[in-house]
Amino acid sequence: MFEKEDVLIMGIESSCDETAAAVTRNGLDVLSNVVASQVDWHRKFGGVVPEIASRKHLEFINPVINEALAEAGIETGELDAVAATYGPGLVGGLLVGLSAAKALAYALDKPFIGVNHIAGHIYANFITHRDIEPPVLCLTISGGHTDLLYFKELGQYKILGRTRDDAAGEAFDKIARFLKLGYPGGPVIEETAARGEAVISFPRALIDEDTYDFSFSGLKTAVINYVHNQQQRGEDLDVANIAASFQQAVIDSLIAQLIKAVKEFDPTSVILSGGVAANRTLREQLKGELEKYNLPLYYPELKLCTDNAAMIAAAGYYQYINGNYSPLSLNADPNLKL
Amino acid sequence: MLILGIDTSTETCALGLMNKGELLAELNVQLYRRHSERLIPNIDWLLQEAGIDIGQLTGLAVTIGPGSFTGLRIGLSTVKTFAQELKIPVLGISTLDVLAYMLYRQRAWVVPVLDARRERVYTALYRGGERDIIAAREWPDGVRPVSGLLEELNNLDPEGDFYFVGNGVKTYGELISEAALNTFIEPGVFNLPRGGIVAELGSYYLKRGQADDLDKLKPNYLKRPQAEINYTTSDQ
Ligand SMILES: [Zn+2]
Repeated sequence: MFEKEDVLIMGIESSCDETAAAVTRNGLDVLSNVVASQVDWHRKFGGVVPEIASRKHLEFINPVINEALAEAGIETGELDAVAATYGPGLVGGLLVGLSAAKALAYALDKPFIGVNHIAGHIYANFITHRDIEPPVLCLTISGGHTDLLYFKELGQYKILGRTRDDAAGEAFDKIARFLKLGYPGGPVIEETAARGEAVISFPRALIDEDTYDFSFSGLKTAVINYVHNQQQRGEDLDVANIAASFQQAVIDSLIAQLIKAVKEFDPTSVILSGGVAANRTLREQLKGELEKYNLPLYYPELKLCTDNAAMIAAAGYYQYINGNYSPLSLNADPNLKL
Repeated sequence: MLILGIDTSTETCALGLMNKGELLAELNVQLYRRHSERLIPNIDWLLQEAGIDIGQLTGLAVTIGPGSFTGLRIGLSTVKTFAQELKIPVLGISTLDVLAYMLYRQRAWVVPVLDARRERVYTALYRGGERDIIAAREWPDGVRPVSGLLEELNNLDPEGDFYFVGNGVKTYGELISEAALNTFIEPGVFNLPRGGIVAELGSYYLKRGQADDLDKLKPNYLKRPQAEINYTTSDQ
């Protein structure tokens, strides 16, 4: 049983290939966090197929909502609001979760709250670490986004840079598919890279330029060209070395832009979030780099790193207490910015 | 029974509210790509005008296609969540049943056609004169080239009368009129699925206990995702 003043929020997430629902209490207490992953359906295509994702979201959304309620041990009537991701992401999937969330909020006559997925990733950190001290630099990296953010307090973000082409996770997926290593790309590249050495020089785009943006499409082309050249010369491919060199180029690009921002903004904490934050090589190198500046590095536990709905409920809570509700006419916005 | 019928499978958002076989309210509006923005506000308007609270509903009916994949998913995600929350039965209805039902009293063949692009239509064939539109069905829902459809109908009954209805008439009316069979094209007002009919069919079949299993209710896409088609036709 909960105190009367407890605020229970349901979060719903369907922006990529995870169908998720969760209930949080007073923002950061996770009562349930249910994720139905579709990775098995997308694996053979080497990436997320939007139409397949949309179909799966519709199959999973209602059972996932039920499970989130059952796990939290509550009835829908006890919810104070329903929050859902409305962007950025794949529009077909977003619309499934958004429609369900609006329908639930309407049937319950409770507020509906549209949440920015990137904001959700930031709140995921506060679920795991209650002691993060602002101002914060936050690097969110996943299959869908690569964003460098700065914020002075919860709720007030400033976007410093983002990818100009592929997201970091997308680059991992594409190269993994190209090297026939499997899917999802992040874990298989890291595993393969561990057996090799970063001896091939691939480009690190934009790091010497006056920007916090990222770019990975040139790197992808460089890897493909390198492999083709080797094949034309009839030389054996050292896939482990290629994976290690590619991974190092991505890591160097990420760290370079982040450190540039550390120097400029002088933050108290640094946060790493999104699916690619699960990459141990990146974490270790970044941690080492930040030690030079006496800065702690935070990252959420794995199940909060990847897409989930607890982070959406948490973000929704902060909008709820500020009275920042959304109209039931809210549409999905695949290119939503922070 | 108090039934809300919802159709978002085409450019029209069609809503109907039926109480014991009587139409209380209906809303049909061409929205094109604005279903997501307008569906719940329109439902809210309809219920308010009829003085009904959503908690009073005793059943739901929704079109499951054929039609726009995105539109269908918005409709189904909404309706399934209502059904789950309100714990009331739900019935999925073919969009073509809804169109054919408008002409069920014709003593002739009824052919609903929805534009599936590139001179193809989503279609099915019904015997006129029967109110139980599912029982009146001759063909399952399918996608066919317009010319192939006309040829097939001609082979089936060269002397018969065929009534065409649906937005496919707007696009392929000329092809249909010029066919070597007795075709009749309905005036434009019949070519949109109507919310009142979705609700009426919902009432009719739900009363007979024909509710759908919520977990199994999904769109009738009539097409596999393109990526899967490409995958199976490549070097597999
Ligand atoms: Zn994400």
